Amino acid sequence: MMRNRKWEPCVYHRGSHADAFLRDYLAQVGRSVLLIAGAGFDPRSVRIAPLFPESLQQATRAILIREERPNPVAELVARAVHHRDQLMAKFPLAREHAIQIFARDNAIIGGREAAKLMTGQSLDGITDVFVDMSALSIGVAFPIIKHFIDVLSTMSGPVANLHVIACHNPQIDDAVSSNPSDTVAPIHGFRGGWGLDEKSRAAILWMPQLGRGKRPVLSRIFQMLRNVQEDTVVCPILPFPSSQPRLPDELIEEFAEELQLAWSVDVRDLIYADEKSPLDLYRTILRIDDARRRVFASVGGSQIILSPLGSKALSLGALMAALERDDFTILHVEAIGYTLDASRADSVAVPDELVHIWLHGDAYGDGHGKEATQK
Amino acid sequence: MNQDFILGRLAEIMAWETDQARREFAWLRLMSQMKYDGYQDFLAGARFVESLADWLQQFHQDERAIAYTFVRSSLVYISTAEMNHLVELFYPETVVWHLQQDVARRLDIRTWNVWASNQSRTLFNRLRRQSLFIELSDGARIDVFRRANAGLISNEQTVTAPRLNDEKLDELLEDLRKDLDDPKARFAFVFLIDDFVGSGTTLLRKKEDGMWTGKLFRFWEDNEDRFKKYFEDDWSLCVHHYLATQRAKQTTAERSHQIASERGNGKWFSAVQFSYGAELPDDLPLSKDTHADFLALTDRYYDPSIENKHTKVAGTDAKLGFGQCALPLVLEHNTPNNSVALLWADTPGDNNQHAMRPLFRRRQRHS
Repeated sequence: MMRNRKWEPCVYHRGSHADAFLRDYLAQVGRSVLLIAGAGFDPRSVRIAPLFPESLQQATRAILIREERPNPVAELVARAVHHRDQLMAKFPLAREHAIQIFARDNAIIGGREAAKLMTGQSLDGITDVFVDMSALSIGVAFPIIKHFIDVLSTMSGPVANLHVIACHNPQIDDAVSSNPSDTVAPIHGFRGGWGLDEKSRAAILWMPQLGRGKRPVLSRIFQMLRNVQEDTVVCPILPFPSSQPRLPDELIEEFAEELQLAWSVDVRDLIYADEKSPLDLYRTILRIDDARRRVFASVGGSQIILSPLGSKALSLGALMAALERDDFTILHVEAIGYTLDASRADSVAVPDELVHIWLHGDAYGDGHGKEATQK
Repeated sequence: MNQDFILGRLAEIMAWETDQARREFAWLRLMSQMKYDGYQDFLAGARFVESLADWLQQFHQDERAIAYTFVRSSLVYISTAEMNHLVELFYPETVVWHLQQDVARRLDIRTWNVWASNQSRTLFNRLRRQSLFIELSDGARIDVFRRANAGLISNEQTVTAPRLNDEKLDELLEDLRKDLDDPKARFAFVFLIDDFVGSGTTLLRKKEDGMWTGKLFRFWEDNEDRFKKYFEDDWSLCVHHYLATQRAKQTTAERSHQIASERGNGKWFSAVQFSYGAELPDDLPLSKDTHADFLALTDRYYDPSIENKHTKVAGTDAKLGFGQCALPLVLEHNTPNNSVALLWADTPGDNNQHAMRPLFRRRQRHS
């Protein structure tokens, strides 16, 4: 029997519907917004600013996050500064905050630092929190979103709405490549059952999101999982439908060795997820988890491991599933740095599409943060 | 069958050197296993690699690399798992959206407030029950749709043929009224479902004599006298295809607009909404800019005996497929006739023409 799910139904928009919703919603009288966004080199940093009416731009408290990694490429820094200046011009109340992603001993601290920064933010008078993860890495964005979910879920009385925005453009994703660190670790706040005694006998199912150029990172994560449990089952996630109809085939070819040899993937274990719909992947992951919980209930349990390394929209689906089931683990390899194929990024012909998810608040309740009875 | 044997033969047919043969064998083994062997018309012992060997042999030796490269780098094959996924997406991504819009309209609330109150949720659930799902062909996979939505959509809401009759509709209406405990309830939504639209011609077109035809027109003609009895006064018609070309999307919208304005009020659906599970990109059709060499083969190895009254509906020959769509597309249950004929045509060659050998043999189906 299907369990009730937190975000089914869900208020979400994509493409032209997302733009229309944001224009309409933000133009409503009485909106008071806290905006969390990346001020980075990614051209998607400045995508949503024009959707804010001018009067709301003047009043919006924006926190612009600059992710600091060792030895950044000068051109990327220059682009980030340019985007920051554009955002500062739009949002006069904006404050820029630098977050160190690595400590001096190379420990990954970005997620924890981001959550700490959010803890200091007052929500007094705020009607809506918008987290724009378009130009944030998932190691930083996920802990921020989890922080607000935790805070808003436990507040009494009127609470702010929580929205997440991601700008989807596979061509820009392809133009950005990351230099991965050596460390495989759970994202801050998404350790789940990883390392817990009660999960020591659990059957591990790993759902890596396949993406171009992600072989080294995914191989590293798999090696770590295999050291923990030799019989780790792998169900790779392929983007379908996709704006590029041959993309699933190209990824199958790119990951041929892993699929056929290292991971021993049965063709029936390939997971297809709509490239533009976070909800599709969210539903699929939870459906699989429901089935596995029953199967392994009396023999050590099931442990789902997620590695959302592809498009932002799909990673948002993995995030929602992990927020709902708090024993999921999101294993990640943080980037030491990025490189940008500037000519490719600047010549992107396909317009990007916004994805908007309303995660908490009025849309599901009576206007005071209390959620309506689910179906 | 030992795949190594046929791969060896394929290497001979293609005249591959050892290194190239090794690379291509790896790709052929991978894609056969992951996707292509699932084509429904393949037979045991004659699946993808065997069919490819047969298909390539119809070309001259120096043309085989062009044909093989086309398969290797341009073919778009939609597998059973992928097509089933498009079916599974239909309810949560499309049906919910339509119903949500209608709840907001009826209650005069914002669409984002539909889940905020029990009143709007109740209306949503009622409208879902008042929806009929009708397949326009067996490609609609209504069985997969039912299984994916068990508990949300009942069997008494799905219809496996577009041609309704009073007896069937009476049964459906009786079940609806019983479920809603409302003796006056009627249907509020009709979803017509099909798998693929390539040119839009089969759905809606004007004949040479100026009369309209196509599946959508037939649905109107067959049922216009029934709508008042079985459907609410302002019922909505939604036409959904799991997969569509950009050309079909545009053509369908234009023709729908044209027929509505030509026929006027009361002679056509008051509103038709079209939706698509996946849209193929604008640059998918083969063109001289991108596939000049392969298009030359489609000219050279064409047998006009494949033309019939159905292909002629869209005019000219069928080299590039029905309606000159020039698609490199194969669906696991059948190859669309909008795809280039060289992929699917099978002719005996008894008219002094080239005998076309199919890579993915097509089963004809017309309704």
